[in-house]
Amino acid sequence: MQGLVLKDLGRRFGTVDAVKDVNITLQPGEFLSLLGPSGCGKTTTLRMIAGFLAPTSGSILLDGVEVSSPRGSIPPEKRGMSMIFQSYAIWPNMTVLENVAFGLKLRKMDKADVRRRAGEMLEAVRLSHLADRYPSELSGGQQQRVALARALVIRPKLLLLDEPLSNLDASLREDMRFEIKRIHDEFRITSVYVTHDQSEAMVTSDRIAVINHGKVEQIDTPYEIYTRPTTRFVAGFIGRTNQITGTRRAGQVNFTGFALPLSLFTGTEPEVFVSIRPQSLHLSAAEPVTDDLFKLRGKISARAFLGETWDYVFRTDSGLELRIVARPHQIYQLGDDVWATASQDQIVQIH
Amino acid sequence: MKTLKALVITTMILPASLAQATEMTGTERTLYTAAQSENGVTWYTSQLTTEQAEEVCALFSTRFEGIACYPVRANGSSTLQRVVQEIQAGAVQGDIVSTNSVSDFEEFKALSGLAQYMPDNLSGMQPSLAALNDSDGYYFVSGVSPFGFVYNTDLVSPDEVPRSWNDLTDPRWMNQIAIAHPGFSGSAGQWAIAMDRLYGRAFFEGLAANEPQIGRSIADGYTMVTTGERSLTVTSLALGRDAMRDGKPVDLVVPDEGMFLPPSAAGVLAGSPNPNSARLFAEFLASTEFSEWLASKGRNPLRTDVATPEGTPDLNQVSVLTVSVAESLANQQDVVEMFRDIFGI
Amino acid sequence: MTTDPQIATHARSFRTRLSVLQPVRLVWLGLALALALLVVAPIAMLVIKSFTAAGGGGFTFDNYIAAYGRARHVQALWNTLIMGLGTTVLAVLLAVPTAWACTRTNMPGRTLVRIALFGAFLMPPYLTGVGWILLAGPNAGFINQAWTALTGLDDPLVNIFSFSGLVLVMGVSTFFTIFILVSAAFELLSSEMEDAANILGAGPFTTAFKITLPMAMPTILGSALLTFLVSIALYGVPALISIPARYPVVVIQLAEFFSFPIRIEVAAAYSIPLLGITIGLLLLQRRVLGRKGYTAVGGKGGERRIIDLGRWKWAVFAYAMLVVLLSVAMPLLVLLMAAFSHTWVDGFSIDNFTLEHFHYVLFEHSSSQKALLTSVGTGAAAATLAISLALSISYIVQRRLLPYGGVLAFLCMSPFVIPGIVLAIGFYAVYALPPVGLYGTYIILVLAFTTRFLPIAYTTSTNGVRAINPEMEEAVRILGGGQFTAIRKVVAPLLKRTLASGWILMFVPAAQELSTAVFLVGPHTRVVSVVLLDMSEEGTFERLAALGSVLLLIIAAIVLIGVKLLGRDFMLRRT
Ligand SMILES: Nc1ncnc2c1ncn2[C@@H]1O[C@H](COP(=O)(O)OP(=O)(O)O)[C@@H](O)[C@H]1O
Ligand SMILES: [Mg+2]
Repeated sequence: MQGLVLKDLGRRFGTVDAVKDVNITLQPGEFLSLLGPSGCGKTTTLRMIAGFLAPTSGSILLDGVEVSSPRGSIPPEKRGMSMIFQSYAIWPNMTVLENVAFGLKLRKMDKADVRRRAGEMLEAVRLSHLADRYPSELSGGQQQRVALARALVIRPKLLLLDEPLSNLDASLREDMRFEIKRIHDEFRITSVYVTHDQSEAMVTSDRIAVINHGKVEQIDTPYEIYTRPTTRFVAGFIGRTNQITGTRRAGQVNFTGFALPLSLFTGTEPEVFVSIRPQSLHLSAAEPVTDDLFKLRGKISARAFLGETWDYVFRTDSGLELRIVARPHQIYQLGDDVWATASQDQIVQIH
Repeated sequence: MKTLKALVITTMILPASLAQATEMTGTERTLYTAAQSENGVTWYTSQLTTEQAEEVCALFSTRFEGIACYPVRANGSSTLQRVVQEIQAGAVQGDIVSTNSVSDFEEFKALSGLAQYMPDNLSGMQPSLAALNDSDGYYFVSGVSPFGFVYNTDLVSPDEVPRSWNDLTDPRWMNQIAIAHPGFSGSAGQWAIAMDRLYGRAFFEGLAANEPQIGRSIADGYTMVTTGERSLTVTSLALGRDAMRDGKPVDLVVPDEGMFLPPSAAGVLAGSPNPNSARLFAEFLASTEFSEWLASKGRNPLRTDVATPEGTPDLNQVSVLTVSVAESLANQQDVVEMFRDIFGI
Repeated sequence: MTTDPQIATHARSFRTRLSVLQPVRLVWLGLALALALLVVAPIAMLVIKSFTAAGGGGFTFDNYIAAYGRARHVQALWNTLIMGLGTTVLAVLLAVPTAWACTRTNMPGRTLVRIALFGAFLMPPYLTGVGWILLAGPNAGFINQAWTALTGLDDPLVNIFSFSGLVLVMGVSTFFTIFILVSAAFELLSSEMEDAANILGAGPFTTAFKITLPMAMPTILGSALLTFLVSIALYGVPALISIPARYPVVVIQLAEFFSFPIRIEVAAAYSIPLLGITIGLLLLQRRVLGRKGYTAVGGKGGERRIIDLGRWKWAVFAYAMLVVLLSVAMPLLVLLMAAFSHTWVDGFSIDNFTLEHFHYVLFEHSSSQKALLTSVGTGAAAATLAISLALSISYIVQRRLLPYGGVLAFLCMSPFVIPGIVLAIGFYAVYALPPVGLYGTYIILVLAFTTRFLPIAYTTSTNGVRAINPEMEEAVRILGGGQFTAIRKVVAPLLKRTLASGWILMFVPAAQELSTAVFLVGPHTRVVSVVLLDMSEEGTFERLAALGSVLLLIIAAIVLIGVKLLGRDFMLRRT
């Protein structure tokens, strides 16, 4: 089987499980993000894939061959992978060209080939004019692109990226997201991208694995992850959301001030959790004519104008609070009586 | 061109080589031949100053061409320490040793550190000195260096100079005396034994009250006086004469009780890496050349065939104080301890 | 399913690799063995000897009784502590204000002062001591000559052969460590703390005393402790001054045990308390400062603003110049004067000018030329060996390549607690005597110097390795290079600076080392420091000064070349 398989992968430091029972299968050419808060085990997972760390349980298979297991690991230099480090790890004692050519030289390629391919790569990341500079003479974004070029030039089986943009300033970060995406589309190298920034993951990835406390919470396309989070953690971590808790009772689920039919929900636990994105809720001054099951009456209790949107806090008499995002022309005053509605398919059950 | 150079060199070294060629004894010749395949002689000494030791070595290497000589000069206790260290380590690196304290040699002997070797050339030694040679044949007298006072004439007028050893306890000399520490300097150690015999503990207490400057070697005190740092020191009179010859403002006094006469001794080290060179050097120390060199420095020659230089008292005609080996062995440690206790160092 | 043949091969050879891991353990064992030989053996032997009857007898306490049964011997220990305390106080007074002025204020001539004080690092204590004897000998010393000429009074103004003279020379010889460490701490302090005080109305000195000083206090105390430990174990200065000053100290007493009759066992017993004091104080320091160590400074980085001293700046400058004068300028000047004079007491004049002493030490004196080579050679060899060892170990420890790296690190740092002269006795007992019998070889000197300065090498190496982000090496690995390629292509080039500055930091003291050398040199392996000490007892200060100047010149030249290669003023900025 081609591609990368993480099977029941785990890593324990002392008594702490930094990574636990991770199962991920990566198709060739796929771009996967590992997304999660700091300390959740992303780097640990990535370093196990790279071979810098041995797993304490489970295994890693690359193109069908076991490369890591608790019994030991093939050293990183034998894996044919590349990695872009958080610190870039550009070697300060070599010029840009030397940095990029390094991996090729290790492959005992003849000089002309090395020069040609390194040159092409520098072209691709738009750094040809800086080939003879030393890293200390480059800006952060330029260094980032050197790292990218250095990693890609060897045409790795797998490209690993560990928070590669976290050291850049905000505007550069946005540019570089698209740069990474563009280059991936150009070379179609199987990639694993570690980040704690959901928008980075959303822009670049084919699929996102959301990780919490060393475990994978959900793996899906960015769209699915956003619209159909399966766990409370995912719903809360990806974008903002309203999480409401209800209880099952006699054929329906009761929430604060309203109820929904039981048929909409799965499972048997007495408590039911749902997520409704602020964008999925609609406000209107008059009672809307709709057959939406979710229709509540309340007041505007706080509001902020953010330029592109209004950010309202809607509060019912029974004390339920919801955040609602509205377009700039939908203006309500504090204390206005309003109705909030959401279509049924925007109400996502989470676990 | 080449011949010319050779000629010049020959003429330059001719007088020296002529002199020695006539005088090498049979023993010397045998040793010399054997020494040529060795690595020269390393000479541990506290008997002379560094400069003098270098001179003697140079003289030796001139006389026995091709035999290098390395003087390692240090104070008596350092030399003793070094030699004992080597004997105990079983790694003897020196070939011959000479110090101003005969008792050192009894120590070496007790550690089986000395080779039995008495130079043939001792046959020409003055009988009074030859009497001090080791009867077991391990060491022999290699010099005598009478002690007296040396004072700075800029700081002390001739009518003030001390007459007796005991004058060192006179408060008149407060802060003006320089002495060597008997625990560091071998000859100072011998001198302290003699002073203890003459005047006992009171002498040292009186001396201590005068706050003398204490050095590690008698050469130190001598320099203190020539530089004017101190006005009076107990040191080798020969050093004083050297200074007078150099035009330094110093003069000598021989105390009424007599010059103190610490004999210097020399012995070949057992297991020396260059035994023939060592023995050859021992012959040299007993030779006419060395005695002539001593005389040329205003020191007492060891041999009857070399006359005592003018201005240097003939040992056979003046009163001297000596310390026997037995006395030295018996008292040295106690006297040094007493000194340390009184002077606090 | 296709299988990459390369990966498959490695997967198969993988299990064999595990057993081949053993050689890596061998590296650990090798390094541990090297450290055991260099560090553990001498100290263990010292402790064993101290309980062994002389001449290879059985267990005994007699050595301790012999060592401490005499009031004079106990007095020497007490004196040593008092001297150490005095030295430390003086060194702090010299170093801290100067460091503050050089790093935090607009005192004029800051760079000049730093460069001049760097001379204090190059100047070995015994040369400073000789310089001060020439300056403040009670009668002939230049200061007293001038005093007598000026006032007509016979009593000397200053007397170097006294307790205060001893402390002065010790202080000016040792304060540089405090200066450099405290300077580094001051440079790390953010000015914002001071600004906060300024805004509330505190002047520069109030701020210095209330804010800056307390924040640097851990460093000051730590470096002061270091100075205390160095000073109680220093041999050269007491050898010159404490005998004439009649102020016995431990190192002199130890030397006495090495004279007739030689009592190594008693010397060992006598040095155990010194070892105990050192270890005890370091433990105490750890306790007090927690795990932060003496480099800890609150608040890293931040903007540094220079404090305007206003009209006080010349007063502060005068103080800094006083420190320079006392520690470097005056002793060095008189040494040079003596080296070029017929007789040093006559001062410097055309009549008195001569090159004879240089000629003598370079061409006539049989051992100085060789001693110069030996000093430079053994110093360089020891520096190279120690840096290689320290670098390997700090790399292993920092990268956690092997388990129990902490043990190696501990062994590397532990010579720090062993006074040089004690180390020499231990080395002598283990290596000089049979069956090893290294007495009189260059090897024993190189090994002893290596051990003595290993902590310096290790600290520098650790800082250097720590500064290299491990990702630099991982980048090599992931691109297909092995551990060794990573070291060769990235680590080694990046460590060049560390290597060079660590080497210099080791070389300078190693080429001047006296305390360890004094019992270990053989007749043909004498180093300059030992030759100088022997010269000093004959009082031939002119020649001593000439030889000392040549040594200083060589060391300074090597350091200058190093500094040139390093490209920046290393040591003068934070290292
Ligand atoms: N070498 C290590 N030793 C002990 N704990 C570690 C080690 N490396 C990582 N951890 C712990 O494992 C957890 C995951 O770390 P990491 O993978 O670096 O998180 P992140 O998702 O931020 O990259 C953290 O709690 C971290 O403290
Ligand atoms: Mg991370």
